[in-house]
Amino acid sequence: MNRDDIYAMTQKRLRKELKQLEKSDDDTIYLRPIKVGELLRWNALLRGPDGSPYAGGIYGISVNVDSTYPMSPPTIKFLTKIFHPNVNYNTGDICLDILKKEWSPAWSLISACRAVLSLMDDPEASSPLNCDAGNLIRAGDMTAFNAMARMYNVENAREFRFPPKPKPKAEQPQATKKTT
Amino acid sequence: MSDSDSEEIEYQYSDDSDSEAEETAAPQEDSGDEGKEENKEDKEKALKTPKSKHTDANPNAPPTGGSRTSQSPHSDFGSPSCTNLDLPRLVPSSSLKSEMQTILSEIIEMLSIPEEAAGALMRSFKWNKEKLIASYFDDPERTLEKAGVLKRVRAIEDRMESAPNTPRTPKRSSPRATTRSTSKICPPAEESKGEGAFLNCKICCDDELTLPEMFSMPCSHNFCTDCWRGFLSNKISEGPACVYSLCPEAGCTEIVSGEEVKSMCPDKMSEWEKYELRSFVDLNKNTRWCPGTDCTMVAITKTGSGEVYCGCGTGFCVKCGEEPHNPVVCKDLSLWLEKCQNESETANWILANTKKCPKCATRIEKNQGCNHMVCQQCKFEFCWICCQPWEDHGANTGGYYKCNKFAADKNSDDQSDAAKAQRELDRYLHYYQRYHAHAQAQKFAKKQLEQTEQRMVQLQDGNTNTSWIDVQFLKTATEQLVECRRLLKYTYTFAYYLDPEDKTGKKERFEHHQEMLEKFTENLSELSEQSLDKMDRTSVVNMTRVVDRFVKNIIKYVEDGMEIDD
Repeated sequence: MNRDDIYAMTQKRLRKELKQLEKSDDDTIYLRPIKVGELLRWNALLRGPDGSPYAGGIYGISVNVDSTYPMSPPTIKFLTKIFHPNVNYNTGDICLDILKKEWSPAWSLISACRAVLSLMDDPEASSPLNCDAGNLIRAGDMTAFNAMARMYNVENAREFRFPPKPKPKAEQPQATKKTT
Repeated sequence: MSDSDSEEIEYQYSDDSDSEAEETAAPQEDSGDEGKEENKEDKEKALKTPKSKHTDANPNAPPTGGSRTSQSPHSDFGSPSCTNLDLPRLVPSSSLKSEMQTILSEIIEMLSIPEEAAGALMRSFKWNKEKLIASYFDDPERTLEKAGVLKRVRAIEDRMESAPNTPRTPKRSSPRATTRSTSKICPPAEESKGEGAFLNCKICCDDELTLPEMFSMPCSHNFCTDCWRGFLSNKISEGPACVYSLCPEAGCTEIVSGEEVKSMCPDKMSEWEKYELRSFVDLNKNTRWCPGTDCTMVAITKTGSGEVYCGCGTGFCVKCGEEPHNPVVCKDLSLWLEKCQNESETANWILANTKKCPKCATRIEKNQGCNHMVCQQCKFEFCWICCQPWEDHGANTGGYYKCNKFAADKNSDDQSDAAKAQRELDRYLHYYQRYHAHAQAQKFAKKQLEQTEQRMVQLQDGNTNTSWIDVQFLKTATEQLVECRRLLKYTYTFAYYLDPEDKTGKKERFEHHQEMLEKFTENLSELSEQSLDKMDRTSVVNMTRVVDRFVKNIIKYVEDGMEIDD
């Protein structure tokens, strides 16, 4: 398999993903390429999960892939500053296993974003990139952690806004969780 | 540590399948004091005349110097299939495949599993057969699943089950149930739709595929063949970790094997096999690549320990890969090297490569092996290591070569932290200086060895009726010198880790051995460096033997647990 074939495969796959995204009306994640026609560089908006200290905030992340996608994982970084044990506060790097060695080509960009979202809801304090945040959780001081995270949430995560929904359809499908 | 006892036993039960091994007999177990010349002659004989292995195993052979002697620099590493199971063997990387196959076939037979599964199983147990078997008989299901071969093994069993007249005793739970039990993390493979229905590949998202365009591992997760090719070639291009690739399905733990590579990417098969062999050597505690530059030989042992001298001129310890370092154990050596690395700046600051003559303060650079220095300026004779007058070291003045012992400073009753730290630093520097001095001397001796051939030619030319054999002694002596410097170097590492407060006399006796070895090594160094017209063959040969005896004594002393010796 030569380089061009692989690149063509990447493009084809990304086009399919985009098509799927345009059809869906996920109101927690908004994922699109930065420029029309350039499929390797994407941005996404994540709605801070309810019940987490990030609720009410909108977080921007960058999602970049190279021509080996989907064989290798996308590179995802937070653009919005976030106080979270698994995210580097300054660079936005994320420590998440499925973005590294647990990646499977059967995952997609949107499923990677969903994984980031669930990481926001459920921090993993044992492998921290932000030691201060990790230490607060490991010390069991959730009050302090939540207060800090909420403060940064209010301070930093009010910059972005979700794009308005495309014209409301005749029958709005309920946003209930699908059961397979 | 009675190496030789177990060797003899191994001889008796040695594997007969290695029939050619009898021709290239194992290193000799001759009595320890014979010196290397004899050792060598014996070996040459052994190479020419096929001996039965039973005559080789001399049951009366005294315990020799253990690891050092049994893997002396002259051990016949060249024989690819020597029967001596205890000794490390060196094999070229080309025969690794058959080495691996030999181990795999045992597992295949014992557990009746397919070959590809056996490879992955062994990898997950780091090629520790005993651990694998213990784990397998404890819980086969979990063992197979952990290694990612459960479905591969079950698929073969199913095939055998469906075939009539297949003897298969243990009835296992049905594979359906197995699939269900793991379906929490890994979605079950989609039921194949009827003929003609289109299939979907989750990688390229193409949903107009037909069954012949699809491929799956025994876990039945279908992806199109193009994606499989892309997946596998991408994994292989990522390097050695490709042997741990799992099924592309998210959450599926079935491991990729050579079978898939062979059918999907036949052009990558050689690369895959290369990585398989590499992982075989890297993971296996009983094997190690020769660390020599560009050397591709591999040391294979039964026990994971021992010292090997490769044909490329590199000697190494199988366990840690460093230069052979007896009497120091691997753990202490790594501590020591790390310490030297950390403190090298302090140490370097204190010991530059030059020293001042203790009498006239002229800077002196040492570029020869012997520690008996004569200042060119004032002709003062002193010891390079301790800078004390050389006469104090001579036996004739009543004093002995005493600079190997560390005597803590007299005012050691100062218990302040600073004083303690200073004392500890002094103690370290005492040993490090001597370690460093012998390391340098070892380098010089190696250089000397390179020039020896030339000196031998000159020596032969200078004396009529002298044969090449007659000048061999010079080479033997210099080789001995290199070995002594190496050993002495590590005796200081060893001594550093001995209890400084030792009251049992063990440390004292060790230092006595060390002192003797050091003293005679200096003598040998001096004798072998002499200009050719003053060269005295008899005294060099004698000194070589004497030194060899001290080498053996100190090794034996340590191996016997430093108990009182005679």
